[in-house]
Amino acid sequence: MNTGTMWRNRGLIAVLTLALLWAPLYPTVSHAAPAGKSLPTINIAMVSDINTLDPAISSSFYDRQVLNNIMDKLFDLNSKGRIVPMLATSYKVSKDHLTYTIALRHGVKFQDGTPFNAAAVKFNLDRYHQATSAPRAAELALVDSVDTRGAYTVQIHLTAPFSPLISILTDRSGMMCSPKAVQSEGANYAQQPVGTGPFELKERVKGDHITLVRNPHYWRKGYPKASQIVFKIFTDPNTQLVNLQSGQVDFMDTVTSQNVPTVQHSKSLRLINKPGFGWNGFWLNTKAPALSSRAVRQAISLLIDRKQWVKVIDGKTAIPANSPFGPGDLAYGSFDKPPARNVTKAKQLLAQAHATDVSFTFITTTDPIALQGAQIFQSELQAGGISMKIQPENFPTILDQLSKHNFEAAAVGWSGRPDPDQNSYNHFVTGGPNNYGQYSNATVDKYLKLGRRQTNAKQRKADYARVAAQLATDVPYVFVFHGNNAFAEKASVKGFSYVPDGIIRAVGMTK
Amino acid sequence: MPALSFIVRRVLGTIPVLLLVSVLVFFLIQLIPGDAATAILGEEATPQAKAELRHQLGLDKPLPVQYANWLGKVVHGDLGKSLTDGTPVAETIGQRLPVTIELAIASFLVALLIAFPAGIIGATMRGRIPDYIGTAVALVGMSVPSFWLAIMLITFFAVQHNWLPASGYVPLTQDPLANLKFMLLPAVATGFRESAILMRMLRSSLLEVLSQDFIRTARAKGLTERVVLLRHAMRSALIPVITTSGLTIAGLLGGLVLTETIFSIPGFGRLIVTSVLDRDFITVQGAVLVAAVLVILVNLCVDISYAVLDPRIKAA
Amino acid sequence: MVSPDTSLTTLPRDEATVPRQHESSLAAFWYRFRQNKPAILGAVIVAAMVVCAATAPFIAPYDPNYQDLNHIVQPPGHGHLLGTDDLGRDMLSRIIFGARIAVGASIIPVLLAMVVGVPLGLVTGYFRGLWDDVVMRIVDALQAFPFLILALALASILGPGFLNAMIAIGIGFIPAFIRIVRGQVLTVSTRDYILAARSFGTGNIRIVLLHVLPNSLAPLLVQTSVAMAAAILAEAGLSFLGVGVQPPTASWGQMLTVAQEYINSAPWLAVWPGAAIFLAVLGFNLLGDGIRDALDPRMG
Repeated sequence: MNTGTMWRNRGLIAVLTLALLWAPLYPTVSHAAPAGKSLPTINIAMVSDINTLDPAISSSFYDRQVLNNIMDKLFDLNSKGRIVPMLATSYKVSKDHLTYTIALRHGVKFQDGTPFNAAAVKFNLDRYHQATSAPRAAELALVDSVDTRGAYTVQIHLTAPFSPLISILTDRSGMMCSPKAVQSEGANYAQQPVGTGPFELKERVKGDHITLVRNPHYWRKGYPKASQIVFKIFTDPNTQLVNLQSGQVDFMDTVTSQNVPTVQHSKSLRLINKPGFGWNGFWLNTKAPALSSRAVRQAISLLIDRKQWVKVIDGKTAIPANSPFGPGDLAYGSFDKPPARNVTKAKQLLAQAHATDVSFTFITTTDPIALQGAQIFQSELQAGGISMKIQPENFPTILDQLSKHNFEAAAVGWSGRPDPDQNSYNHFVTGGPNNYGQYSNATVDKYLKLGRRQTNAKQRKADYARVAAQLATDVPYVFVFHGNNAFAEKASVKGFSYVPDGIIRAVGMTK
Repeated sequence: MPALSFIVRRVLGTIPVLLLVSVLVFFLIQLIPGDAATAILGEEATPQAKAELRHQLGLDKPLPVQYANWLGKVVHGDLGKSLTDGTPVAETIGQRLPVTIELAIASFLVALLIAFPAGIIGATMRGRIPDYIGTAVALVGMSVPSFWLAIMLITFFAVQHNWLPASGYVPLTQDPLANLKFMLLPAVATGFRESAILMRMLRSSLLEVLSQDFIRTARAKGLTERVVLLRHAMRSALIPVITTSGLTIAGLLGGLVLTETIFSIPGFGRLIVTSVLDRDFITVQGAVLVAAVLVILVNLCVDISYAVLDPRIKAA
Repeated sequence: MVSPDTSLTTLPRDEATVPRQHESSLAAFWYRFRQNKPAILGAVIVAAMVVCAATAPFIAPYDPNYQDLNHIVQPPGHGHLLGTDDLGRDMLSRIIFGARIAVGASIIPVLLAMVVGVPLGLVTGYFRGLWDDVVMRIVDALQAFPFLILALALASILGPGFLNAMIAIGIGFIPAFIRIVRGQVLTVSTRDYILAARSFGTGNIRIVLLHVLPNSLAPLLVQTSVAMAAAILAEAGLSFLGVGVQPPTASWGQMLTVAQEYINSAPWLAVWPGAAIFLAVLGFNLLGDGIRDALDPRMG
């Protein structure tokens, strides 16, 4: 699970209950890796600390930021969000869509010197999909088995057709760890992760920074272009900006809407502000007594003025939404245009449903912008006679209450993935792992399942349009906006290439 | 040596206070409304999970037993494990404390740097314009919220003029100069308020001493005003100031909670704020205990040095 | 043993204050207080704050919670004397309504500390003995906790919110009140007229209420004023950290949290709420100094 928050993943640490059972100590780890002379250190401001560096159990967006620079994946995304080869060089799909044959890159070594080959891929994929209750197992639920065909070919067998598979392999499920390191480190692996990636972990000071050093034997000749990457944790985006201006960091991961003009008007800074895959808004728990009536949920949706809200909170870094499928998504369509605010109609709906004195509690993060946004909802709902109480909580607590369905409304979004299935299935299918609102609808289930089986893009698009329409009618989630990934860098920084998944790939960065 | 008996009594007197502090800290957890395990894990937690947590917290035993077990662990440096990520609380505090101690010392130095000249000028020029200015500044210092001062300092020195970094931290051992740059604004924001308290204390204490007989004698002996002030008056006047300095540590620790949050300094104060917001009661409990013990120990040291410094206390 | 008074802004000169016979000193006190211009200023500031709080709905130009989303983060002017906040709410109105929280914060914790601290101080100081030792050791222990850290820990355990923050701050104040009253009782109870009353067989309760308590009022007044200043600072600090007053209620501390978000684009947002806290605290500090000086003309 990888959950962004409503307001662009700000200041949030996706620490899950898993973390309770698994207690990392993060000692300072040193790998002998001579730093390339004269290559610069790139400091990156990150808005939240990481949770774990083991891709098998990671469930935080920030883990991905760091992991993507230590681990290569079988596939990657390019700047347009299209799938490109990485450790895999090509793949073929069988006619029945149940077998994927993947050819692997030759001559790649893990950072501990062991070779990357088909056996290593099988080891990793087996570790991911055979785990009993880990996030990767959910992503790879339809994987039946993995075979090696020679030293550099693997075959993945599925139990049912599953179009998002390759897309999933561009993220943590496709990350290749050194089997030797995993076996020898055991539970300590997350403190000493070993991949084939451009950088190796040097040290982590919890809550403060993570230092990566150059992998001198990286398989891409001439890369990486920096000797060190330091992720510095600055939970306040304003602090990030001030530190970028003063040169303490070269790159920052969270530009808020109100800081966009500052970055734009500065000659020494560069803004990167582009659409992502995610969606944001708030869950309505369809099983909570106050919100179990569809009419009430529809009224809430009608009372929210998404355009106004976006203008105030996120005008320069987001667009209004009405579905899980934003402009970057394959399934994007006209259904994503939000309805106009209609207080009269909302009141009618409430009256017809005999819903008087509707009142519910809205959980959001303690972040000032989150509270600002919540107060707008509060005031808009009040106009329709609905009273909403704001309860600020920290992100882990919110996720905890969400996964226990112990809430009425909660502002938690989704950071987004390249495939529409990844942006909708787990959230809205009956009993889905991220279906916090306990929503269940036969039409939605049917088309979500069709969507992941179809391979024809046009057909899939039609399926997801049906899903979006039904979600807009039932309102288990009030979609409010699709956020951009808004970064800023020093004008002197070269070689950053934006990818819509919002991950900072530092491999080409230098200054 | 009479001072020795004072020191022994003083050290022994600390023990019951430490014990009481531990009792109070222990009962903090008992104050969580309702069942602590439910409050921590949420209402729909499985009974097993709750039972396990109750066991971890020792809530399944009678209170005195719970306390004794807890205290036993604490004495061995085990403050339990964080509820959010399972790291040992003692280890996290150990990581964070040096940062805060450095900042506390820096703030205290700032406070002394302002308080000493201002206090001396105030006392020697009593009733004249410099005294009024000093008194007014001290009043401002006591009234200005340190977190507002911090925001204003960042706005001016970092945002508008880019002279100093807005926030962050570099360890002293890694780069002393950078460390100094990062520490300056937080130290001023925290130290200003303490300087006001110290300055008022020093001024009134000096005034009192200056009116005493031995000063008149010294003056009559023809000693210069400078010698009278620095050699004779200051020595006596410093004693109540040193006592106050001991008390300042508590104020500093409290103030650093806010300052470290604003300047994103990975110290002990910010640890408390994040664990409070995360409802990580075990870390909160450990941190509060450490803060109180620190205050007690610093005060103990201050009292002992005071006993050594002041001949009069030996008779007491 | 030196007992730290860690909780308050000034060091109340409880031991130094020589209690006079209260009836005759009242006029002298009032005379000296009136001569003290800073003290009058303090009284005026505090009075202004109380008036703002009491009449907020009548004097505030806008509803403090009315959002004008088309005019957010406006600089001062344009129909909003102090500008608007992140939701287009009138800053001046929110500052005025914020005075209600500040006044509440200055009264509730101090009242709580008095209700618990004064009787305990009286009883322990007057009767001494074992209970005195026990209470005083607890006071020592409580005073070892840095005040804001204790309040933060208590507020987190009780849950965020205004009332819980008030309780947390109040608990932090109790030791200082016990100590002050007890110290006063110790001084007073050796005085001739108390000894005389005792020898006439006057009951203990009667002596405490009629003779000891009135003589403790003066330092108590100073302490109250100082504690009120500390309480306003503490409430603002807790609200700033997010464990005090919750939005949308207007509170100065919470307004500063929002302002910090706009430090790059709208730095003026931080000016007004901070200035309001500063003025309120200054008012109580001036008042406290004034009262202390008027009670004890030797100091100052």
